[in-house]
Amino acid sequence: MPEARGPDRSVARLRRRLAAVLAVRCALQWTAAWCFAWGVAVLGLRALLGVSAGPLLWGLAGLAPCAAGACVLAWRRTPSRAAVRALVDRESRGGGLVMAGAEVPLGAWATRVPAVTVPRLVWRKRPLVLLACGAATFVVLGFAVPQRMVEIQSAHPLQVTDEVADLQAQIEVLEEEQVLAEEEADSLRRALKQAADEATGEDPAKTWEALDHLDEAVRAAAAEAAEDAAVQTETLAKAESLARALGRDAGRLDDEALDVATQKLADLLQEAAARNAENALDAQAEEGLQPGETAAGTAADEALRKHLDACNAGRLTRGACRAMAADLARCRGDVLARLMRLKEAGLLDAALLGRLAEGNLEPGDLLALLEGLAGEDLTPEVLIEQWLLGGPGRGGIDRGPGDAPLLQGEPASEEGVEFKEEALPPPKVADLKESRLLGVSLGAPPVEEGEAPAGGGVLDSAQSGGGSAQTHRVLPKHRSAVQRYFRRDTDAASRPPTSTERRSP
Amino acid sequence: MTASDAVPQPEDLAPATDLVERVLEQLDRLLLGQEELHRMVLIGLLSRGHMLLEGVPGVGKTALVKALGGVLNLDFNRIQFTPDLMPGDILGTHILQGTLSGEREMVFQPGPVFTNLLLADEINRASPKTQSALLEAMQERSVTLMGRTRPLPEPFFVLASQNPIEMEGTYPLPEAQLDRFMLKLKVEAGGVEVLDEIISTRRNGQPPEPTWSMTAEQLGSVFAVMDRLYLPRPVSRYISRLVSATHAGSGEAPASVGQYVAYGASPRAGIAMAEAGRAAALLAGRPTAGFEDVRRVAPAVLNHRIILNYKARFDGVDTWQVIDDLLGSVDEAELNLPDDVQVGEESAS
Repeated sequence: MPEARGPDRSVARLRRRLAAVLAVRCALQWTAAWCFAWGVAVLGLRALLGVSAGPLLWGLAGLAPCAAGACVLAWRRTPSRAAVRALVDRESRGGGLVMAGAEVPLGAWATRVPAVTVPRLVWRKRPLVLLACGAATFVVLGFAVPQRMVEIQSAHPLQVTDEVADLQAQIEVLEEEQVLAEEEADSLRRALKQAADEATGEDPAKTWEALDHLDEAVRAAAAEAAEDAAVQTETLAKAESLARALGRDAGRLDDEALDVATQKLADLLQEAAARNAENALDAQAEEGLQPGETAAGTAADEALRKHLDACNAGRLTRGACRAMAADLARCRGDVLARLMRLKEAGLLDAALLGRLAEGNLEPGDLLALLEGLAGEDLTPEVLIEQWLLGGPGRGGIDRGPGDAPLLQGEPASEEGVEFKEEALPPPKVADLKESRLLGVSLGAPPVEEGEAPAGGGVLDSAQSGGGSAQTHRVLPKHRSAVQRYFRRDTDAASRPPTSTERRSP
Repeated sequence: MTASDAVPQPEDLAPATDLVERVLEQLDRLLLGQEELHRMVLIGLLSRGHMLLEGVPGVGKTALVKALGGVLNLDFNRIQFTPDLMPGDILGTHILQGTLSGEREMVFQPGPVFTNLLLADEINRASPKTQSALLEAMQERSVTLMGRTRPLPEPFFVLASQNPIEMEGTYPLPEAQLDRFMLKLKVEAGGVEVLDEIISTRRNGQPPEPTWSMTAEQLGSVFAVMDRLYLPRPVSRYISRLVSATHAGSGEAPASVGQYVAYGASPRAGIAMAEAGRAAALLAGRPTAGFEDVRRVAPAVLNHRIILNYKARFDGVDTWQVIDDLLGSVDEAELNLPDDVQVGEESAS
């Protein structure tokens, strides 16, 4: 029908545009749905089965069927030609002429059909485009997320947060106190983080073992540091005690004793300075300093060297000795402060720190010791050594630790001492075996005179006060100590020994 | 099928359109300020339908019918419905009458229904029995009395009026009779300008005499053209979908229909809408009815055929609002496009 050719073109063109819009819209919908499903599958397979990204990229091939299916569906949903013609008629205000032109011949009315206008299609595509972009981003993120982040965590996670935090703090303290080198601390931190990341309730033993191992390593480092500190503290305490004694009694010591004491003080200072120097070298190595450079915080080392030089030069005066004692006390305080940090971090036992803090030796009056033992055949070196160790003869259950060296005098003679051996009587179990039933009575069994009762067993032959099976005689030299051990002194036993009692010989 | 058989050609349509326009011109001259009402009444007449005019007294209902009868040159009768009006008062009755030979016989005396244009004034004041007397006349265009059916004059139109405010002592029209009215038109008073012109130009409000009236042949030719107007299939489908959407169970029914409509329109509404749409196209000078013609006549066709429920009464919703929703929700072209794809403004042709 020639009169309908114009509207036909417009209808066909509008229908094609409608089909295109619907196809793109449907394709976007399907693509978004597929991308979401694909992303979920990617994450699920990576999380559950640990599938790598390569095989999962095959999901890209699903976009083609999506597009094809969307086009087919869009074409089926495209409005019919009659519907589009009706739309054109309405928009053109054709009054039914455009529609009628496709159904009946219009005759002269064909030339009077209003100008056909193609209505503009308005597609609010922004939400759908955003949805599709979001779906595509979801897929990309599904591939981009690291494997360790998509792995499904254990359903029963192991709670080790507190333990890890404690260890972390302890490592930091050790690093700050230069007990651990930076590399060692980093290595421990990495191991700790790995243990925390891999902590699962499925295999708690593995985590606990790892944490225990790290804890042992940290405590071993702290113990090593504490051991060094203890030795240094002891050395400094001895030097301090000797310096204090020299500052107090230098004028009253004879020359030999003074020389020995000075030499001993120099040895102690040398030992302490050497240990400080060793620590300083460690610090230099950790901080990357050259051997010629001086590490920070060596004021104590300089003081030690200054006093050591004074000792070696024989320039010790009573004032210098008192100043030396003060410096040494300060050095020891620094060491103790360092240990206090370790103790606050839970790396040291409080008792150990207490013992180190109380290690300020007060061996007593050096001059009195030297004069008191003047008659003995002991050299000043031995006497000063004994004095530094707290004096001899401090053993005993209530006299403190027996850390005094055993001074060997004349050996005791074993002449006339015999060990008495006595054999225990055999048990009389044989009589029980040979017993027989004489009768059953409610009263006490009669005792027949002719037969001896069964023996009482192994203790029958034991006598009151006899006690042990073997006895030996205590040597005369040890009797006083044994008597003192068994002495019942209620006053002394009811209170703990004072430091003075423990230190008094 | 030739083009002249399918649709009336311009040379055939133009005289009919001119006649209709002259009728409208006369009506507009006789009754001021009711142009749209005149067009709707003419649409109803061209569709051979009956009309129910609803309006308060004094707005020109009777004057309209009188003017219409004068312009169309049709016989005109008016019946004032009252509660004691009997069917015989409308249809006519047999009376005993003596003949010249001395015999007596029953002679049928036609009632006022035997006319071309019947004005049933305040139809809701008559009893249902009397109202029902019009059923056969309106639908079959005939009257059956004592076993004899008498056809009514051709054309036959009933223009009934009812007062919407004085409902006491009235008998609301039954749905069966309401359905026989093709259009229900609301007659409202004109504005100040119209009233001022009436007062200043009309003595006692009497309209002037028509200067032109249509002959019976001309009216017949107009009806002949009306019969050839074409209704495209998409338009007829749109009418069917509109009528179907007045029922709550329809898939295309808007929410207001499901909420407020108790009973939807009957198939007779669709037939009436198609005829009224054709008449609207004739008034527009087109040989085919379009969507806009249907949308124009749909409220008048549907509003008295949709029965609302009590919820609508409580919510203050009337049938006009429901029909507005209906016309806004049913897509004429039935594109069934997604919500985010719409046909926007017109682009280049």
